[in-house]
Amino acid sequence: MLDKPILRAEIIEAGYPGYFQIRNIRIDVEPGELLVVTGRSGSGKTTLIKTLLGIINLSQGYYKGKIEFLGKDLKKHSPREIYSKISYIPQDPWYAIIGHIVYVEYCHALSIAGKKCEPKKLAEYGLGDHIEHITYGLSAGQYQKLLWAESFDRETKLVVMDEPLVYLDTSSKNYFGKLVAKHLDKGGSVIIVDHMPETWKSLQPKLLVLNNGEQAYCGPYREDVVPRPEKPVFDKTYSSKKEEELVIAKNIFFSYPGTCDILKGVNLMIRKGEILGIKGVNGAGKTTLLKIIAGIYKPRKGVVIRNGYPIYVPENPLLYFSYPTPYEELYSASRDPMRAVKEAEKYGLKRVLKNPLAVLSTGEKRRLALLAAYLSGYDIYLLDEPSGGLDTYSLNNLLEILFDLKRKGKGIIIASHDPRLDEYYDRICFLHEGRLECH
Amino acid sequence: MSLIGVLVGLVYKTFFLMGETSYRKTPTLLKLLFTITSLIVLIYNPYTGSIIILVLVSVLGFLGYTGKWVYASLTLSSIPGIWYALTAFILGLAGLTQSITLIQALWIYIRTTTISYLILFIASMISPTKIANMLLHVKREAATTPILLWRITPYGLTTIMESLAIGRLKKEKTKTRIAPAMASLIEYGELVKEINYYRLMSELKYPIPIKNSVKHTIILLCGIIAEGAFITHYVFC
Repeated sequence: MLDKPILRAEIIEAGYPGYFQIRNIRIDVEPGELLVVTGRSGSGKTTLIKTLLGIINLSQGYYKGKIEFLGKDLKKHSPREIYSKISYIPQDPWYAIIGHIVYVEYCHALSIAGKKCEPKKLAEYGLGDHIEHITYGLSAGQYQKLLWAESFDRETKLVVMDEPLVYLDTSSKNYFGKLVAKHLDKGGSVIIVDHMPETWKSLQPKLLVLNNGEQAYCGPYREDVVPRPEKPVFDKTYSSKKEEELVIAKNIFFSYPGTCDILKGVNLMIRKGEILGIKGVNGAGKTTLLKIIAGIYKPRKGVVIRNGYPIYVPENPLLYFSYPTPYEELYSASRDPMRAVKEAEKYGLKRVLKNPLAVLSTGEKRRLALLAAYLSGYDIYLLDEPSGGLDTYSLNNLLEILFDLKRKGKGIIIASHDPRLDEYYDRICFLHEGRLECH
Repeated sequence: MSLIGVLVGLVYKTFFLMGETSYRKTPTLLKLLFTITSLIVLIYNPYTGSIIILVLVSVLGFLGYTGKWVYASLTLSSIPGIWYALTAFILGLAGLTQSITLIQALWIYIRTTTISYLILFIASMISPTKIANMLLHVKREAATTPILLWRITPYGLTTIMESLAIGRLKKEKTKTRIAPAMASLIEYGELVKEINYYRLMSELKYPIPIKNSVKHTIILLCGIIAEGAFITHYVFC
């Protein structure tokens, strides 16, 4: 390893005045080194990343301290210099796209970094069939793939990624894991924020654990420093009659205008008190199917029978909310101020109850959307990537909500790539080439 | 679905349903020629010309886009058509302007709708990528603007549609859902600016590759020839 680090940061304090701060964090990232940042939801991981990238001040944030990139104060680098040497994949990938077509986005990113593009290379990243596709029609996983493609093909010295595997299917996760290893071998450096740091264990990373905005550990990877609660045990039984069906979808066909059928004769049924998982590769049509069941999209052919009120909680939780603060959202859902506060406390949201939604972390927004939907008392819950960006503690909160809904005889359909949820499904369905197979 | 949701959907289908395909992948000069010949057709014979343009744009729409595009664009362009025809008819009846017959009101509807429909068709042929590449030679720092605009506008429209749809599931009234939908748009804008700060502050170095489509160039050329034949007929016969 070289003596001169690629990135050196001494953060005395950073954050959002009046809301949240991180303090006393020291980081050195050497060439060829992987730094994995972990910590509970709301511990300051994304705030740290934004500080390291020098963009925190753009959202009314601030920082005190020193950040050096390639031995020079980060502020003294020109924007083009930073863009051609640092890639950033945010937790919500849709915000990082500025091109209207997949290949235009890719070529634009490379062109800004001073590189010519070859759109056919997108096939290596699993986007071969989507080169000319509109970006505002991509799934979250496809957004992530596109950002991986442009980040690695720009050949930047430092790649910064915030939960970069959340929306990816299993085969893509393996492929992209190898890309990181290759980048490190070439002397590039990587910073990854991940709630599951063990994913990167084989690459012998340096680990940074954050706890409530402070550096709890920084050093070689160690299992014992990763915050991990005990695995909860849930009663999977449900006393209601098994034949009570909540949703019956028969022979569903669906296509987006100008494209082939994405769903081809899908049949699906969910009973009261059942948790059904839907899996499939990125772009298989999982979100589309949830929206059809919710009644947001109309199928081209086929019928959906709903015996109860459905609710759809999207992968971008921001779209769910109706009010500017968590308190108002929860109060509106429960119609009981005491219950709103009590439930917020139970699910770790009391600290942020009166904060504007804009300053909440993605994990907090997601938990809030799920809690608000839970308190509203619908019959059919259609959850799109509900555990994305959630740490193990928050995952347990989510599971508590799911099993409470199950006990109450609600039907839950979850579209997710998260393997942590697999053991809690009553049935798993796989969506492949427009057809659904359930086990 | 609410009226706002329907309108947002129509605008989305008219302008953003297709990517960098179809007539966007035809030579800029040909698009200009089509615009000029269409205007000449409308000027030479406002009545027959309107019908011809209406039919021609529909045929081109079916061949180059989809039936959904034709339906959405016609519905959208009918709004000013109905407005002008109705106001002219009603104001005439009230004695505030010169009174018109129902047939005259129908022609006002057809001509206004045709002009709007033609404008929508021409606008849908604009290629943001080609504009970006042109700006690269003229005003380099502005080259990102057209593609960013073509990204954030439809994304914003889909965000509004999805937010309104979730509002319906939550049994909220459309008017109460507008504020949160707008708030998510503002939040989206802020995050795009923040996350892409260095990219937006840098300039494009190379043009973005774009190839013209032979098929759509031929179809558009046929449209221009048809218009040319009509103009020749009226000028020389």
